[in-house]
Amino acid sequence: MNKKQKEQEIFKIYAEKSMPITAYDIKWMGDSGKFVLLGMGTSGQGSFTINEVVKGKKINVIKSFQQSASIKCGSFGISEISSRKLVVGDFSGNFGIWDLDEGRRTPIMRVQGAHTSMINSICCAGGGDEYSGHGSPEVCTGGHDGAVKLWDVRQKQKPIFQYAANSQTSDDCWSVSLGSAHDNTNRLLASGHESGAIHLWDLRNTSVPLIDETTNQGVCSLSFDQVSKPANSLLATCVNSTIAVLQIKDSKLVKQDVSQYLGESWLTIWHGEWAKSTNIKNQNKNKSKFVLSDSDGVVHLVEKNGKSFEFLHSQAISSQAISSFSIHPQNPSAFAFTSFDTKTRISYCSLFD
Amino acid sequence: MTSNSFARFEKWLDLMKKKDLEATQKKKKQRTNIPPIRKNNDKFNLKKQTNTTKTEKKQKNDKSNKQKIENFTVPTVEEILSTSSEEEEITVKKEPEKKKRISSYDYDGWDKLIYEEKKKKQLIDEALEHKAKGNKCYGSKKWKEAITHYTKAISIYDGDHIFYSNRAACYLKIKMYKSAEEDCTRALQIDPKFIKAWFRRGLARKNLKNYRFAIKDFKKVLKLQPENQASVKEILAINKQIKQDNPLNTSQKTNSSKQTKAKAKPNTQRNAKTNNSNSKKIENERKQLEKIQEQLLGLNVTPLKNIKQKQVNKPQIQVIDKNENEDEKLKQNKKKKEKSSSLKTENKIINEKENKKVTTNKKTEQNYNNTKKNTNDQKTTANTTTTPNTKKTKTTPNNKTDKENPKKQQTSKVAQLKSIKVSIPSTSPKTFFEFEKIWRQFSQIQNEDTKLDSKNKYLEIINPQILPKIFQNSFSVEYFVEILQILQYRLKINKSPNESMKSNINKILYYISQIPRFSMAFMFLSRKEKQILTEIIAKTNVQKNQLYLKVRKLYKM
Repeated sequence: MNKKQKEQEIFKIYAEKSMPITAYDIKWMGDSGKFVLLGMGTSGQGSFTINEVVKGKKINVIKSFQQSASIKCGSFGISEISSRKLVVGDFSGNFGIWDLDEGRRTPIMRVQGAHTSMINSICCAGGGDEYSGHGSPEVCTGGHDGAVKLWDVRQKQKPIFQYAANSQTSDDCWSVSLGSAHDNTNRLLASGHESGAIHLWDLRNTSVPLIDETTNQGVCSLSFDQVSKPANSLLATCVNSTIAVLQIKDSKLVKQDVSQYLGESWLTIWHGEWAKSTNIKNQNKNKSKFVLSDSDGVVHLVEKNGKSFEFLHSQAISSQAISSFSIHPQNPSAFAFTSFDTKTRISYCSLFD
Repeated sequence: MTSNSFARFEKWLDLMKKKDLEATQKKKKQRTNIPPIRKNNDKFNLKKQTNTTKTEKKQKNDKSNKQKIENFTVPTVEEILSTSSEEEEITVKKEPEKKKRISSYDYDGWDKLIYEEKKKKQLIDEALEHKAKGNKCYGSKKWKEAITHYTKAISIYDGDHIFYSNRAACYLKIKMYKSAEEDCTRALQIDPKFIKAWFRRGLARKNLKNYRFAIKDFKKVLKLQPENQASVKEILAINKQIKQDNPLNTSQKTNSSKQTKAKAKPNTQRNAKTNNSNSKKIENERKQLEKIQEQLLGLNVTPLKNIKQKQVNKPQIQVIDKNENEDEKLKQNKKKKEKSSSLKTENKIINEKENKKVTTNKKTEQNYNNTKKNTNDQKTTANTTTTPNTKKTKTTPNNKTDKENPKKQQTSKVAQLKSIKVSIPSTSPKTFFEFEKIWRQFSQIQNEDTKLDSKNKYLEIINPQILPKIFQNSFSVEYFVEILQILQYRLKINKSPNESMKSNINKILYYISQIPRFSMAFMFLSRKEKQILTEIIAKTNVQKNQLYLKVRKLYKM
């Protein structure tokens, strides 16, 4: 590669390794250089592994856990950042809480039958510190049956809040997110569905959703820009090369078909997250920037300018779809990507350092 | 270069290792400031949890059994996550809505209560004064003044839903629809059964062109108040507007639902289900609306027409030998699905009336979906001797003769076939179903020349631009070959074709190449057929024509 091409590489890949799992989700572990890969193992059972990024551009597999149903999604955030409790949702509608430090082979707590079919996405908040929000530890799950349920860890018989779609029109819930947990009582819950509907609830009063909007394209992922502070905007990435950003105070939805930047109009944008930075100087610069990953294996850095989006940088990382990526909560320049070509890649982006 | 660029990253990795060790060695403190379990209004449930099915009951039983096991095995770690019973009691006390039992000796408590109630009353009275002023302004159509009064009332006392909904009504009059919608949601958060707020929010959303959610709001009104006719009118008006804005809206929706994610999932049938679910949604909504119309308006409302169910102009088939009891034969043939496909081509003896009866029924669609053979069975009445129906049919003069002389029968059938004339419809087809029906009628003609001739004439009617829409995903090699034969036939007849004819053929070829799955069909052509193609393209050479050049490229000539 030329020097110019090297300079243009903003996401510099530090290490890559091919794993024996078909990975659906990846999450960094706080207070360490480790990350967790969640997915389906070789013989169809669910498995997730703890891996560590080591000096010398290596990734070491430290431990692996198994369960009978294959795993779809997982999330930290139910406790402080130094105590490693992972919530894992699987294909048969159950979710469980695993304690990774102790290393037990079974989950501490399991909720059976949370959903009648598979759990598409799971999100936690309320760990008690600035990374996972204040307030009570709660888990939110969104399922293939169209239901969105909020569970408190202390009450697993019945969800605290649930939004159940009609049985006739089951609007598959593809993504769920919690944010704006800056207080003991404040919290926002967002759910994105297959029909493109985005519902936003204020959990202080859930009788009526705060905002109901549609993007008309299935919503693959949602992300709030702040978890432990009042959130300003919600990013929704959709099918058919569309992105949308919802400003919560005005309830304005800015939606755009970005097929001209991606090259095709039928790409699904699997995951998107707001970028943050450690320096206070850079924080204002990077306020309205976010990172996307699409089904061509390309990662984009996008900035929102008023009512339009500007693609600052695109970089092809893999040949197949990047199903998910994760930004380290304590170092927003460390990215971990999984893709369907069985390789996980760790990359470093100096813009956010 | 690379080592320098990752230097900071590697420093950070070292840091994280140290922190990792510390974290594992640290004693985990219990979190002391966890707030109690959130209690929320569960009123916004479209599907109530009380309808437990058998599977849910089984799951509940399983849960309870497993809870016991889990509670037994894990006492220590759960303590970190769970709070003690003391904190749960605090929740009850903090709820101001519930009437607390204050003991008679708790003088401070009583004083507080009385003071709080007095304050509230004062505030509410003030706010109501402002609301009264606002109502006056609303009555005299001074919208903006009314808004100011209502906002004052809200600033004094926050919790009355009527203030918000009145202000929303004023916003609607000024056409500030977004703020009207917000006010309605606030009103509904206070009182979710307030019908006016649902209705006004529906109006606001309708004007913001958020049709889907507007209809939801109006339906909610109907749930709460089934006699409300205004909301029914609004729903109908919205449907009209949807059609005006996007006449092909429904077909677009079904197409977009087909482009779902290609995630690796264990159930590959999932995508098929989503397609069906989306199309079912639309159908269900329409059915619901029809029901509402019938109930409330009490009229014989014509059902909302689906694009798929359009009436087809049927071909007029001339009858040569009329049989009187063909109605009964048809009915009996419908019931028994027979595999006498070899004798399909016998006897196309159907009256126009019978054709209408047969084809307008829904059974045609079902039979078409089931097997392709059935369509032919409906149209053809297989002769009585060949079918076991003879015993059941009421005897006709033809039946007796047929039983006696099967050979004579066959010759007469052949004669009948030759003398059939199929007339060509005047309008072009709009769906593949129509096209295929008519196409198959033509392909049953035995005389090849007339076959090609009639097919050619039919092709001429069709605008080539529609071809991709008609075929969509049902294009196959057979149709391709047939079309090529037709074009060849055309050029045979007109040995020196006009420019318009040439351009027409070019257009057809071009639009065929735009059909999805064209490349597959193209690959499967045999040598002979490709030769035919080359001939056609050579003959339709139009100099300096862009279309011709495009066609050449596409067909790689």
